Amino acid sequence: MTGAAPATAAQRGPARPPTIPTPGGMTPATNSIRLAGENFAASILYLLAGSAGLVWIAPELAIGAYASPHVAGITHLFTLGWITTTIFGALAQLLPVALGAPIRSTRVGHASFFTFAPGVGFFAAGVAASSWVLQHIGIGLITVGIILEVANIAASLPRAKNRDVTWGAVTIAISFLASTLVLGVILLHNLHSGFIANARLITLAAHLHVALVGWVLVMIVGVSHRLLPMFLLAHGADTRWTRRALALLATGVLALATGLVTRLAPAVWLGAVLIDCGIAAFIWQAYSFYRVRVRRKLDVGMRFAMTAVVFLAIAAALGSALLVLGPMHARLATMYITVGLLGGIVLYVVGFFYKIVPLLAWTARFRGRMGKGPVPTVAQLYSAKVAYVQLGVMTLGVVLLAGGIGTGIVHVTRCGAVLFLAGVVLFISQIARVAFGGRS
Amino acid sequence: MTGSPGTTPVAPTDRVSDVIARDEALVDVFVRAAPHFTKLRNRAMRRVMARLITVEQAARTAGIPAEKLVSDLNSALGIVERAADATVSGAGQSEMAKGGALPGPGGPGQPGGEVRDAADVASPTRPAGMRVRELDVREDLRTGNEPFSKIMAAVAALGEDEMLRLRTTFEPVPLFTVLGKRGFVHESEEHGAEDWSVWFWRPVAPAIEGSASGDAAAVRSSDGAGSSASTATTRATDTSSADVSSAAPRGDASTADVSDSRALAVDGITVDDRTIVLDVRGLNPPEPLMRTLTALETLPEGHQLLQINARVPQFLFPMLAERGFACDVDESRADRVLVRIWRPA
Repeated sequence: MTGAAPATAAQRGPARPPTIPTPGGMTPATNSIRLAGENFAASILYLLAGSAGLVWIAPELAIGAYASPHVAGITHLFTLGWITTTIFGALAQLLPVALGAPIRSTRVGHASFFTFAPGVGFFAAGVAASSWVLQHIGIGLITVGIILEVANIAASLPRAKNRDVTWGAVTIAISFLASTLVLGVILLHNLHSGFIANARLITLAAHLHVALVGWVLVMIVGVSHRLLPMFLLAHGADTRWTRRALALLATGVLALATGLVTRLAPAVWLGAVLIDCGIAAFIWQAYSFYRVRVRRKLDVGMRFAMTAVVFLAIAAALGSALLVLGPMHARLATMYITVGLLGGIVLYVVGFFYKIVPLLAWTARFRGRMGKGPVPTVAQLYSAKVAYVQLGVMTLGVVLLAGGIGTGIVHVTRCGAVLFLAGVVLFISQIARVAFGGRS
Repeated sequence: MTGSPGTTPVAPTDRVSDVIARDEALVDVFVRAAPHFTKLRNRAMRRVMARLITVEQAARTAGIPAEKLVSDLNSALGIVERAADATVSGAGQSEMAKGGALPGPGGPGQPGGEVRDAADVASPTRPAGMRVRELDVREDLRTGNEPFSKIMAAVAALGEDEMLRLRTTFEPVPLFTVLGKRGFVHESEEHGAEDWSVWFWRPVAPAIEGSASGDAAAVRSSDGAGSSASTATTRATDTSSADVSSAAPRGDASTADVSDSRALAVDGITVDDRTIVLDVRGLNPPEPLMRTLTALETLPEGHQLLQINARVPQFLFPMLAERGFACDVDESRADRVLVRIWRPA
């Protein structure tokens, strides 16, 4: 920015000019809001589709058929459609805010979105319906989308001014995203050729853990390091646990995946222990932030995150039990994935959605009026009461899903799925209100 | 009455709403302390007023010692106070403790809520010849609607030669802090039960003095150019993210307590008399953004705003450019970021 400061002003330390907006009123920030918005819109639709699919696959979940095509298809609606698309959208905003580096190219970001987002739909439908054509269209689009996104982020990272733990987490996470894609392509090829034969399930386990732990959880840990203190107003907490959590999770998932693929039991055990320790370190870090928060009353977004952390701990315990008891316990394996994915990760992302999306919508909508007159509050853009009901319904849904799978009772499982879907419908109504309604 | 000795004691800077949220029975303690608090039994009134005022400010409006009220509240909660916890900033108490009442009994308010021109009775302290704009928020207060946004909009719309006459049901002590930091002086007058007039105006030759109390945010005429570091400082310690439109640093007697040069020196910042310091480190997004833009709307000519933040405010920069402000950023310390904002010549 230009202009001479009043000559009398004085302050200590070097100064630097901030990010300079581009001409024409389209600043990097507003452009990235659009990019984030389209990703968020698509991710919500996939969350709805995935949740509806849960009701459909409830009988298969109840018998522990975690590797069935239907379950695999619906799982991808959550992992790729909801979680990954949300992360892609969030990174468009996070990179400039947290790392001081705007995303390298918003055009590439849009290109990634328009290949990846439809690709997820084709792929999930193809896997669920065992359609060779849809699978290949889907995986082709997904591959292009991921490559574009990874390249875009990788090109942005060197420009980051703050190469801190969040920067490290993003770097590690996108590496694991690429690995997840490779393992996924191998599994897809195996569906038609059977070339990995008996190694299918262990490759599936490796794919799942690299995706959920290496890509998603590492990203969550890194992003939370920035956003939890910001949203909780928790300054002064011991933040060294994030670094430990990242180191443990990254090495753990590497050891686990290597052990699974090479059938090296000690490596699997070592990986599992490291991942559990990493999750424990993350939980301790989150607890440290919550403990030193200035504002004692938690808003609904932070309550979602807190609930998710509890589910994450339960999932870690279930994973350890599965390792001890053996993979033949299919219902336990299904319960482990359900609690970890739906309770631990989906709810966490929903919580951050409640913090990020209304804030972005509010900023975009009222930027011209800020400071010049009354504007509604961010909290007025949605109903906190409905959000609390949603939290209760989704939490109960996950509990019933896990209980139904654990006991093998279809009705309980389906009941849990219906509750989870109901919570998602409430969530969508809230986000629609944020996007299109509210006081103005 | 619940509460245990292990509970955090009530502090003078706690908002009344937060205190009552701990135990609704504490309303009785307020009422016992002063009859003026009777209206706290009214939920609508409580919803509006209790979150705008701290215990210390409430005590001041009721004309009772804040220490005693805090002590009574803690006793009711079963908390044995430590001496340090009960310390109350006494700055500015005497000048404002003139019988104001948190919701007190009174007659009906006139239909209002909109700013209009008003004839005014002359006062020896208020400047003559200023156009008076009147805003009556009594009905809003009685019906449970928070009038803060209306007030701030009315203040923002004031011209240089205009003053605001605010009609309220009580003496709005927290508002004095907020507007004092924007260079407004005030005068209040109680006409009867639940009927107050408060005038806000900018002094003709403002020299915004940093004062130990925001409530005493009276703008004093400079008694010698450059004789002291005169800086208006806002330390926004309110942490609510749910009330962005109520961008006032409400409830924070502490707000004002850091406006002196000693606090600034501790933070390693040197400022002069044309710098307004806005500390937003204790605020949830997007309040730092809101307060900064609001402060810039009334930034006097030739002044600059120094925002103290916990992080680089990336969303702020494009908005500054849109509004014709320039800025630079100092990230030389890990624990805070300084953003200096000014209007280019």
